[in-house]
Amino acid sequence: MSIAAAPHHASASQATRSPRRLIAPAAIVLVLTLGLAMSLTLGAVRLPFAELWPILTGNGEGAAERIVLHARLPRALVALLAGANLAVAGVLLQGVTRNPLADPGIIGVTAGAGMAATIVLAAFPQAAHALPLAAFLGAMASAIFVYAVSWTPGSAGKGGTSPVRMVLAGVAVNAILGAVIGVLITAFADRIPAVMFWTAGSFNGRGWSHLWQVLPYSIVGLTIAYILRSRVRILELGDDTASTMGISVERTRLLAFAAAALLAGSAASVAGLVGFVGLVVPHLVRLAMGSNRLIVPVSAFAGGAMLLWADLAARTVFAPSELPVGVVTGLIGGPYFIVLLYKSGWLK
Amino acid sequence: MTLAATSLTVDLGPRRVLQHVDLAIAPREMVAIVGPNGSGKSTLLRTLAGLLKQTKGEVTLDAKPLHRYRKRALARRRGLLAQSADMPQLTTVREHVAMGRHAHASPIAGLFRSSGQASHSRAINAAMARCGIDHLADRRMEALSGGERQRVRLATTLAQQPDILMLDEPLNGLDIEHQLSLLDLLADLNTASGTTVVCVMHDLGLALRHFPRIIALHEGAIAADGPGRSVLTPTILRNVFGVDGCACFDLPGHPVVVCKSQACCQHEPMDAGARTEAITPSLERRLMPIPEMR
Repeated sequence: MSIAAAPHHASASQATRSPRRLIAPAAIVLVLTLGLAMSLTLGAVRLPFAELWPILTGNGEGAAERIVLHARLPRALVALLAGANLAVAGVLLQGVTRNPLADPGIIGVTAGAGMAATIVLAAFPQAAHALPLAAFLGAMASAIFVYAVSWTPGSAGKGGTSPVRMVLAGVAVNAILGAVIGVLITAFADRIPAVMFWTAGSFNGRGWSHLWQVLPYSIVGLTIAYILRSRVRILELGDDTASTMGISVERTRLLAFAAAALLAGSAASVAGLVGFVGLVVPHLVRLAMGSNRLIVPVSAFAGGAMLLWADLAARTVFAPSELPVGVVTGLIGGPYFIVLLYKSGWLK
Repeated sequence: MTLAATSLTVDLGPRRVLQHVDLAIAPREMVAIVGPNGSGKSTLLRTLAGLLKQTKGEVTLDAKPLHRYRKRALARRRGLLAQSADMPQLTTVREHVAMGRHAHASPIAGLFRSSGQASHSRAINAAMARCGIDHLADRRMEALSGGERQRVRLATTLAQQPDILMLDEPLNGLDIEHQLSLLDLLADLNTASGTTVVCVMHDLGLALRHFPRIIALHEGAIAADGPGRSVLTPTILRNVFGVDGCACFDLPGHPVVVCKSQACCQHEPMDAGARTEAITPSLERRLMPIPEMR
């Protein structure tokens, strides 16, 4: 192997900026826009597309305006934000734990939200209005517990966490909280339907107040994720290498962990436990893009689009009854992901 | 630009891994750190790199203690090619090398966008050219051979533009051709760019051939430090490494070889203690590899 510079350079390096790389992001934004338009027009009252524009620009009137502005639009936006939150939380956790199977469930967020919600729904059904807050606090408490358990006082120098300890602590906490949920629904057997429906995830009846509950966490979490995106990727080179490259490994891990917990916890508080999005959307985006470039913003859009379409299907396919949205993400997203995985031969 | 350790002591858990290590590495030096398994080589390198905190003593860079440096400032002064083979998914060679620019990019703005900036791409291109991987720029890491991957990791460290390059057993898993070309590359860097090279390695023959200065560690202390000829003496080889042998410098075509054949040792007689010991077949099998004889 020659040490001297190879003669063929330059030309290839410019390929990374070609417009071909923008096809997938553009397609995702298109799918999202279409989903938004259809979410606003489809339902018990079907509106023509032409009526949307006057309503959205403030020139609408009557029942159509009320339905779009007070039911369908906020519900669609909540689904969009929840999807974006879950997908980006997945990106962060898959990077930080160096585990392609990581999703918000792995740090206890899902189980924590689920247990808090089960307590409210089963034992204090009269306090149902406090459900989002309870679920959010449960998610945070559980995430903090997982992080604390995965911390180990170091031998030389500072202590720290490790990806493996994080995953194992999360598995243990999930098992404990799952058992507690089991005890609760056995004790309050008459409340099982309410618990099950919330657990499978739904945007039924979500309005502007829910949107304002999620939005601040989305803004904070997505911003942190965007700033950390290159650091989280460098962590994949190993702690020693990342550290000598000037990265504060533990601080980056803690920030990414906290951002993921905020994102997934706030999503769970308004959406219930929607599985699959956090695990699969980052992979879908990687498969579609063929790289990790733009993974954070594109995953946010893809996650939003996925939950938007899933919610649309959940409320229209068996109208007037609604499917849980988590059922739809599993039923449609799962097989689609298997096809992609099979065709790409990725992660062999 | 001197890297110095004074009475450096490091405990890992209950175990004392390094004790009272004193050394100074001047600019433009090429130093190999050798020693048997568990002698504290990697611990010494990781402490010199600022990854481990010493129990006692001090490590200074330009007379300023390492812990007083900011992480990013330190990253612009020294780079470490660690032993880990962690490889990020779906990453092209260029993206991998660009990660080395982290300490030079603004802490908030993302590094992949700034990789388009002129100074970054210059540094990235230079590092890839230096390591002979510029023709692989758009290939994925998964598609490369072990030797190519190691070159990409080295290029990533070089993109940091460090004055001091530290390497922890960089030859592991490489065939002899790639070992030699990597060592040539280090020598080239040292002469052309004036980079200080500190390399932990196992192969004494290669250390002798490529490094003017060798530090031999034994049970966490420096057993010998200096030019190979004065470090790898039969006494050190026996006391530190537990083998009978010697370094030969006079054979035509192979200037430095560590071996234990009597033919070789006629050129540089063993000391009295070693000479009397019979060379048994089992010892013969522990011969150091001789690069030229492949």
